[in-house]
Parts: sequence; C-alpha cells; structure tokens
Amino acid sequence: MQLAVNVLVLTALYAMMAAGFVLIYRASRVFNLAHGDAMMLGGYVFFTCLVATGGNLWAAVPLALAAGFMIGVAVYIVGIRPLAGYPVVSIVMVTVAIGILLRSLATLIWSAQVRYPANLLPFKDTPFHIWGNAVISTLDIASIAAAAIFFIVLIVLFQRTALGVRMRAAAENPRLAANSGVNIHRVIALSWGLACFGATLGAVFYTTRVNLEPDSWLVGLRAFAPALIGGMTSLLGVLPGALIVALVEVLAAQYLDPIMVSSAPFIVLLAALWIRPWGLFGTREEVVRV
Amino acid sequence: MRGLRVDNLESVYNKAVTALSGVSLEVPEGRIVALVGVNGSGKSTTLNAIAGLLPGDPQAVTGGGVWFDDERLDGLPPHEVVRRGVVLVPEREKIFETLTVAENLQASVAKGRDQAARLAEVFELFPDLVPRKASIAGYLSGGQRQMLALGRALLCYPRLLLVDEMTLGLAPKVIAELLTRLVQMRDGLGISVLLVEQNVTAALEVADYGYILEKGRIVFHGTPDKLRSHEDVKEFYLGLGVAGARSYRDVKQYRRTRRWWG
Amino acid sequence: MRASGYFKTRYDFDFGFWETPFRRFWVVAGLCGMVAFPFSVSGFWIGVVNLAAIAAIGALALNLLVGYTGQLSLGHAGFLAAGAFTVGILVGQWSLPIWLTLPAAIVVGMALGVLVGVPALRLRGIYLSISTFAAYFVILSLVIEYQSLFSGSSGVLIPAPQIGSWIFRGERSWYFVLMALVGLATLLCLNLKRSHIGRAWLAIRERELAASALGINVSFYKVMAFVISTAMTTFAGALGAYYAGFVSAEAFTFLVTVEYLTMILIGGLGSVLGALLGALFVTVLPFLVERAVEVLPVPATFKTHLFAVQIGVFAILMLGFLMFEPRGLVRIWGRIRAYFELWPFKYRPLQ
Repeated sequence: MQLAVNVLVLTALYAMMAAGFVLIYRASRVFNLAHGDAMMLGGYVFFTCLVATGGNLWAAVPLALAAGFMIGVAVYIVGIRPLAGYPVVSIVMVTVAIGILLRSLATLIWSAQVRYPANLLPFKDTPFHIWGNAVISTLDIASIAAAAIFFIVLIVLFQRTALGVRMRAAAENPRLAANSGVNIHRVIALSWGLACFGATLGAVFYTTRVNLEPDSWLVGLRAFAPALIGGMTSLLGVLPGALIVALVEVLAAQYLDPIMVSSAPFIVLLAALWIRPWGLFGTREEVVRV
Repeated sequence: MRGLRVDNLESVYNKAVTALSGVSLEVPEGRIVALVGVNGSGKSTTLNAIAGLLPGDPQAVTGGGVWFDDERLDGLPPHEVVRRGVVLVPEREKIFETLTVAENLQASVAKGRDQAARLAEVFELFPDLVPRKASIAGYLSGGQRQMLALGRALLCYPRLLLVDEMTLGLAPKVIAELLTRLVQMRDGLGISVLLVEQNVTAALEVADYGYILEKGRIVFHGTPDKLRSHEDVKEFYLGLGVAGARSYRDVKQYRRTRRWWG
Repeated sequence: MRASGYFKTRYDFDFGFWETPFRRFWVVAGLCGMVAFPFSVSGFWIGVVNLAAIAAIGALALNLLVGYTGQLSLGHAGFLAAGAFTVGILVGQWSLPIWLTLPAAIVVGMALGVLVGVPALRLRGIYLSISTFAAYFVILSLVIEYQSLFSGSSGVLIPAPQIGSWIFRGERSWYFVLMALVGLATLLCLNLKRSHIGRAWLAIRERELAASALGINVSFYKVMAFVISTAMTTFAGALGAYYAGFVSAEAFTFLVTVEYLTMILIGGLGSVLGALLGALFVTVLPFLVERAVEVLPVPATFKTHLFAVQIGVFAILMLGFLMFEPRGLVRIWGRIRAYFELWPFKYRPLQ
C-alpha cells in the first residue's frame, strides 16, 4: 500500500515537470534539454523567495511561479526565437547550451551547497496514516492536488478557450496561424512560460521533499521519459506516461538496486523508443517527419 | 488610393534565387483581380510577400513596396497584415488538419468584431460545413477543405482576400461553385480578391482585371476581354492551339522575343 | 582568378588526398611545427596538448557519426566510459598488458556500435538522439555499479603502460605517440571520406530516401558509421585511461558529450580539420579561463567556483557559434580566404 502512495506522489511530480516538455515540443518542435535546469533554477528562486519572505508560503510560491514563467519566456526570446528557421538539431543544441548556462549561473549565485527548503517551511510535514500502514504526508497530498489542478487548468485552457485553440493552431501550423491573425510569437512565448511554470511547480514540491542542489537538473531531465512515453504531442498522454515511469522506478527501488532509480526512467524510455517511438497517444507522423 | 498597390516588388529566396524582379499591380476596392502564370512564375511568392513573412523564412523582400489604403504593408509580420484587412488563403496547408472544423474557424482572430455574426454568414455561404462542425478537418474532401479555408479567412474580417490556386485538384462543378461564392463575397460583403490561378479560363470568368506573370515580371495586363483576344494568351494560357504547333516547345513563349509589349 | 569559396578547380581535387595544392604545403609546415613544439614549451602546455590529442581522436570519431553521416548521437560520454572501463577492468582484475587491452577496447566499441546502431535504424533525428542519450545513461549506471562493487568509490588505478621493457611516462613520450595516433586517425577519416563509404554517408546525411533510391544500403552504412565511430571512441577512452592513470565514473558526465559535440560544432560539422581545431579549442579553453580569472578583476565567487565559470564561458561560446556561425571555424576561415581571393569585389552573385 505504501508503494501505491509513493507511486502516486512520484506520478504527480513527474506529470508537472513532463507537461513542460510536451508544451514546448508542440510549440517549437524541439526537445528542450534545458527543462531540467529550468526546474533547478525555479527551485533556487523558490528557495530565495522563502528566505526573503521568512517562510511565508503564500508569498513565496506565487513569486517563484511567476519567476518561473518569466524564465521560460526569457529562454524563448533569447535562445529560440532568433533561431527561427534553423534545423531542429541546432535548436536542441541551443537548449543544451542554455541549460549549461543556467546551471553555471545558479552555481555562481547560490554556490554548490546543498539546500533544504523544507527547513524554511512554516509548518512541519505531518504524516497521516491511511489504509493500514501506509503513510502520506501533507506535502504529498499537496503535490498530488497541485498536479491535478495544474492539469485540469491546462486541459480546460487548450480544449475550451479560444486562446487554447489558437495555441494549438500555432503549434500545428505557425504560418497558417500567423495568416489567421494569431500573434504566434506571443502564443509560443506563452507556451514556454507555462512549461517552465510547470517545472517550477514541480520544483517547489521536489525541493521541499528532497533537497536542492545544482545537480537537481538531472531529476528534471528524468521527466523526459514520461513525456515521450505518453507521446510528445499529447498533454493527456503525460499522465499514463508518468504513472508507468513512476511505477517502474518505485518497484525498481524496492526490489532491485536503489542505484537503478536514476536510470530506470531511461531504460523504460529506451524500451518505449524501440517498441512504440511515438508514444501512447502521440501522432505517428511525428517520428517519420523528424 | 483605396485598395492594394504593389510597386516594383522584388523578392529573393535564400539570398540566391531571385523570384520576383519588379512586380507592379493594383487591386482597387471591391474588385476581383486575377494574377495568372505558369508554375514557377512567382505567383505564390507575390502573395506571400504581400501577406507578410515570418522570421526564419527563406523568402525575403529586397526591393519595392506594398501599400494597402496607402498604408505600407511590407515589413509587417503576418498577424499585423491580417489586422489591416488583408488575409491570405494559401495553396498548400490551408487548414489546421488536427483541429475540428469549428476550432479551425475559431482560430481566426478579428479584434473587436462580431465573430458570431460573421460565423453565421460563413455557414450561409458554405452550407456543406454545417453538418461537419465537429469533424476533424483532416478528413474533409478537397472541396470542403477549400471552403473551410475561405471560411477561416472570412472570419478575420478581410477587406482583401489573397487566394492562392483555389481551383487546384477540384472538380469543375466545385470550381464553379467556389467562383460563385467569390463573386457573392465581392458583391455582398464588399471584399476585394487577388486571385492567383493557373486555370486561366476559370479566373477570367470572374475577374474584373487580369495580370500575366512570367518569371517574376508582369508581362501583360488588361480586362478579361482584352486578355482573351490576345494571341499569345490564347495560344499558351488558354490552350487554344494555333494550327501547326506540334509541341509546347513550338509555342510562342519559348521562342518569344519582345512580342508582349504591344 | 578563382571564384569565392570554391578553391578546388579540377575534379582530381575532389578525389585526391590533398584536395588543394595549398594543403600539401600547410600539412608539411604543420608537421614541422608539431615536431618542434615539445622542445620549445614547458611540460604543462605539452600536457594540455596531449589532452587535446586524445580529445581529437574522440572528436574525429564523433565527427564521422554526427557531422558526416548526420546521426546525432548524445551518447559519446558513454562510449568513452566503456573504453576506459574496459581498460580498467582488464588491468585491474587481470593485469593484462596494453597490447591486449587496446584491441579489446576497440572490440568492445564495435560491439556497442552494433548494439546502439541497429535499433537506431528505426529512429530519425531527435528521436535517435534521445535513444543514444538513454543508452549513455544505461552504460553509465552499469559502470557506476561496477565501480561501487569492485573498486571502491574513487576509481581504478592504472599503472603506466609498458610495451616490452619500455615504460611510457612523461609528457614528451606521450606527446609523440599521441601525435602519431592522431595522425593515423586523421588519415583514416580522410580516406574514409574519399571512399565509397564516405560518399554513402554523405548521401545518407543529406537525403536518406534519395540515397536508398540510388541503391545505397542505408542500414548497412548507418550501422557501419556507428561501429567505426564507437570503436574509435572507445579507443580514445582507453587511451585517456592510460594517460590519466586512473578510471572513474565521475569523469564521464553528460557535459563531456556536450563538450565533444561543441568541438565538432565549433570546428565545423563534417570537417576533419574542424574536428581537430575544435578539440584543441575546447580542451585549451578551461585553462585559458583559469588564467583569465586569476588575472582579471572578477567577483570572488568566480574564483571559488571556477568550474561554474568554465562551463558558463563554454555555454556562451556554444550559443555564439550556434547563432552566428553554425558552420564553425572552418567556415570562418573560408570566409577570410574568400575575402582575400575576391578583393576588390565584394561577392559574386549566383545568377
């Protein structure tokens, strides 16, 4: 039973971070290898906000999320938009370079010391007992709730609102969208901002649960597997993708070597690439087109 | 001047290939003007240059200008051109394939305009779309796609429509119906149209004026009657072959020197 | 009077080894310089050049796969680690001599090339790169497992290599051996480029469908590209293990892959000379940054977190080349040459 709880919490974390990969892939057709670093930077900003506001969550979290949004928009404006028309490979390399730059900045500003934002929280993370001897804490419940709300908002945005339709249109065919009056630069910047918003949201929960250090970007990068397994073009696919990866990771940690935890998502990724490269819900043309 | 004015437009692809070397034309308000030419003459290039280019496009405008209602259009991004009332209906990729018909129409932006009223007008013009509102656009037939493309353009409240090769791959009946709709748009909604076509017969049926584009230059222009009575147009563009011509290589265009200027 | 940018004036140049008459002169001059070098500078800089030489072999290998065949591989560090750990295991467990371990490393590389290359046939572009990235992670976990189980967390120590009674030590002896090896690797790459294999790779990079329509067995050549590239890479990793004197998993981060990709990017994708230049550039850069930080007035954190500064500069450089000169140093040099060739004209239009 405890395993189920762990899987659920991990799924929520992965879902929040993986949503960003899908959003960016749909908007700019690139694999954003800087997403992990964006998550790490978001975590550091959250940490600084906590310190600055003296542990006031109601101020720190929105501030950090807003900053995360701005980081995403900034990365788009500085790194992606100038390279419009360049081959995809170049843009992926640009995201790698931006990621390294973000990591360098984070280390210089905050030093490589490991931080524990959990110590700055105004409350203690109280565990609850449910269903026998399974334990779930307030933070765990909060992360699941946050992920659920985030996804509901995203889905409502994309399926029901005119803005969402225009974002999907711009993601599918930027030229035609521009010729229909959509300001595609604003719309794509919005996608990037939302993606990094999600990454920061995941960072908030991850850093309070575990810790924060410049190498946290590796955790963010693991979230790539759920995105790919669900299908890089499908936001809904992130949920089953995250579930599968979380399941494999928790089971591997439990029954195999704990060291396998960090490579489990990639093994699942490799398997998915060999069996079904376009993911569970992705569109098949994607693979051949690329 | 009310309407579109293109003055000596020059356009280059990939900084190497000159596609347009000095194109000048006019589309007065409330008129349908045809721009005809063979493959590679530069018709789509002209329309793209008018409709606005995105950063990262291989095409670039290197000379001349485009004015609509005496406001300069070239250099503006596409969504700004749409805001000023000039909307492009492209040749390929003219609809959003993964969105439904209704979503396709919803994607058009017309700031401060009554989209609901215009939507009703679109469904009146193209009744075929009504039962298919919830279908994925990718599954529509060729004629229905073109209708959806025109509908999507109409929802941007255009004053000038740039229509690129509307009749490609469509049955004659469908072509006739679409042309009728264009005329209805001109008369009922006051929309001018710059109609780019390879199907010269069809284009000249509805046009008020016509331009002939060859290798990036306008070589002739006039009313449809004037164009239809011109020898070279008859022979090459209308397919009314002159007796004795055995292959297209014999046709005037290929051994023509300065016949056009007259 | 030659046209700008085109320095080959006869078909012979395309097939020949030297490409243009200039090359012969420059290569001979370069060889003289290389021989004179170690006698004119301190041991430290020879060491830097040695590192660059090992990197050059790795860069040449990556250039074959990424630059020439167009298969973007993000698993380079994994193959280097595989080569290094092959040596580590063979020397650590069974004390095998170098003339056995190096070929073993090559064989391991070839096997990995098949293992990674064959499944990659189904994937294109960035999906391919992701699968190589995942392969890197898997290799790395295996290697970390080995290290923690068998050798303690600091890695495997490797004694200096010994052929017969001659023990390899000292920067100078390494220098000449490495230069010879780099020369051999360069010769290999240049000749591959000239051969039907190189032409097939070029066709695959440009338009795979058209290449297969021309009768090129795309799968065969793709796997061959992987095999040759990874074999060279594991060889480089093995050399690195001997040169450094120990093997540790921490040395093979993803950043290493990025460094090698930047090497071929900065030098110019697909260019052998570019790979060599890029390897030199990227290897020397951290040392230059270190000197610069010592000399220039910078905030104190720069000095305590030198590594962060180094990778920061590295990232900015990468971004610069990607945005402004994606075809690398070789192209910059080509532009300079073209300018002087064409002067006083500015350019020769295509039409």
